[in-house]
Amino acid sequence: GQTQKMNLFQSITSALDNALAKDPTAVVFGEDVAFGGVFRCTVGLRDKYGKDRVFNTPLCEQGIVGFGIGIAVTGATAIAEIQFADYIFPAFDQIVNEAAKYRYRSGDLFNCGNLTIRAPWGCVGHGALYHSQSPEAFFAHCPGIKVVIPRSPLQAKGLLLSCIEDKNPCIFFEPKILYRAAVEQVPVEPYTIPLSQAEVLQTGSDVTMVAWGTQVHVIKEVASMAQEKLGVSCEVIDLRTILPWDTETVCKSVAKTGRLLISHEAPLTGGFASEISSTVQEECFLNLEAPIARVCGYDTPFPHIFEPFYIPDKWKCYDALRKMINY
Amino acid sequence: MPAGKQDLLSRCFFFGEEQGRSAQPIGCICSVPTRRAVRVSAQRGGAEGSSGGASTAARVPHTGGALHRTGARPRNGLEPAAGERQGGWRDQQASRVMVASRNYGDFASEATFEIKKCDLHRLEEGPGTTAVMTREEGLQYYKTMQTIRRMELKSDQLYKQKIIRGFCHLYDGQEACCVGIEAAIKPTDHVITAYRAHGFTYTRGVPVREILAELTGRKGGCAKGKGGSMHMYTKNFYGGNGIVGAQVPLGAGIALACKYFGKNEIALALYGDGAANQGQIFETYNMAALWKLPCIFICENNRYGMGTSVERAAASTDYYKRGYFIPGLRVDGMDVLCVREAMKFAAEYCRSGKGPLVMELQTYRYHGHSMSDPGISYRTREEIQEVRSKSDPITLLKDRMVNNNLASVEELKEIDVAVRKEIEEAAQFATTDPEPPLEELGYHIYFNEPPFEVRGPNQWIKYKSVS
Repeated sequence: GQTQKMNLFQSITSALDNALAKDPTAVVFGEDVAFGGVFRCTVGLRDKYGKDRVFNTPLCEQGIVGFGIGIAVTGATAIAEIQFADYIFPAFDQIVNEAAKYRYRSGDLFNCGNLTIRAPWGCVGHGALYHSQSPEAFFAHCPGIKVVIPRSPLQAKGLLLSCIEDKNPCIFFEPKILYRAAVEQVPVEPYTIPLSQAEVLQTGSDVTMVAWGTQVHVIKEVASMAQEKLGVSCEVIDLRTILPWDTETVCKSVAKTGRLLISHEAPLTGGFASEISSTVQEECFLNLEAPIARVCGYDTPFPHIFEPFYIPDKWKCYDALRKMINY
Repeated sequence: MPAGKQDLLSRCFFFGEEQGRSAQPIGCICSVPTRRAVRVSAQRGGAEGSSGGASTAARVPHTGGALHRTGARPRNGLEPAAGERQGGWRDQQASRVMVASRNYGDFASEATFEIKKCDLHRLEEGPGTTAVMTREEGLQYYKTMQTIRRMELKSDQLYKQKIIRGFCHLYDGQEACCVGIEAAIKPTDHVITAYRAHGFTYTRGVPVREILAELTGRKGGCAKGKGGSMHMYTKNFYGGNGIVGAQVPLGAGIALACKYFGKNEIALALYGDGAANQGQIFETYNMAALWKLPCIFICENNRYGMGTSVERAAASTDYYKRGYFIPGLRVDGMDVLCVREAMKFAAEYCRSGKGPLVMELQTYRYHGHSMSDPGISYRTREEIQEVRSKSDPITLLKDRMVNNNLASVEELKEIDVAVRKEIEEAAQFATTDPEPPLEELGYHIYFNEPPFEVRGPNQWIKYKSVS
């Protein structure tokens, strides 16, 4: 249908606008969302839908998520915002112990599937320890919730609307560095992108590269570098949904190429790449030509001044790729 | 010439950079004849050259008036001009612009001020309504507050030049809080605060150059450049914490240690009006009251939790009552003396083992929440201007000092100039100091003897974690 040029935060606003319009029980809440949010994701919603549907909460993440679970359980759609993913930890107990297990423990009598939690995620260049974290690995360990990370405005709108409609509690991480940087033509009408489906951005025959969020753009660049300098054809996959993740697409791709590189900003040990790596070696052991490479952040807290050296940039990925090719 | 006048001449003058001005006799501060002269004309304020309270003079050791009578060379090389010593002295006083203090005898040594009464919760009596401030204290508070003010403004400037990056939460407007608090506690007491920490970092003893270097991420910074704005530490100052409200349970833990070690120390846990709604604060209140910890919970209420005004965030804006079963006081946080007296009261209360206290300091910040916040979308410029003109802590102190003859306007200006110079030098250091070496990326993760290799994309660079 009709499209409009939007950046990431505008596409989020558009998605929330569609959700609030379609579902009369939907409410959006969080810290500072009323005036538009610190990243402008909720601009104009309060004026359009009223202050009983778009409202601020006091400074209490545990309270926000607990409150959201309560709303969701009664049947209304709750869209909670946590101001930065780094602040989600006071709410960790509520998400893991309450939201994720509600359906299971009540034998499907109750559920909080109407809950969606949104949080800005990932490094931003100057965030330092508490404005740059990528906590998807912590939540990947928790059955019962879904974790989704878009890479662009077009993906974000579709995935967010899917999360809101999905009958399971979802956490939607938005790469904050792309809020203004990524601009695309996005349809104004609502549309959904299926969850738990990875997308193959570029097909290839020599190496499979998997990433999500901002890092997808990095590996796309690495793929073109590899083609140019090494004549290596890469298959680039955006995982999109971290939990439950699309094992089939990734394994099929590795069975074809024989080499896998996974990249994310979060620290290496226990990062989600370890889960992908384990599963792939189980499924595709005999197809592998080289050890699976994981290009991730170092096992330190996210640094202040050392950030450019910490993040897995294209050179580190390229080097890992080269070593795999020459294995 | 009467003995009194002669002796006035032989009193000590301190000079600023006034080279080239002639006929400025110097002497020691309290030759005995001086004191007599001082007692004779003991009114405060008043005419030029008349003396004020004499007790300052009494404290400085006498080095002998003989120096002057022998006509020894003045210390800074200025010669008294011929003939001007005696006759035209008073005229000279009037025409000279003294950039430094005049003789001590000109100023009062201390003054008593009325301060606002504190609101009390579950307390029978609170801090008094008068405070005594000596000249030295006044000058020291002034210098400290002015240093913090200028340091924050400099940080603002450096941030806009992109030399400081990341998050920078400025403390200007709230200087009276940290200065007043520090004036009433000992260096061995413990302080922990949230991210708006630059003021406390300074009052707890970190020099300005180390603060600015930490902001710019250089190795000369107090956390070696690895922490940034929100993570500054020094002895008995536990930071600098980014996660809102997380520092308050830590403060209670520190208080427990104080009680356990029995060294008569207290812990201050500071937080803001936004954090006052966090669950962990209430958990901490309960623990502190239950175990009677020597912890003072101080809420720096600057009326806005980032962009949300207190009325829109809190069901009860009486933050000093939020401890419910913990007694509380509400203090005017723009008046350094009020803060100091309240803090003295609170410190004594805690040290005597009566348990925790909650203190709310009503204060204001001129800048936005952080440097990315212009600070005017949720409040009007008029409001900021009004607070600046009516309740600015530095102006309040200055007016008090000048009106009560504790200092002259010129003397305070002199302090301003010195402070500016110090900040400039510190900024120079902060911009030219090198960044910490790359090896430090992996340092200090754990405490262990053999350095281990930090796992990461270890194709090229392997970092060792050294502690």
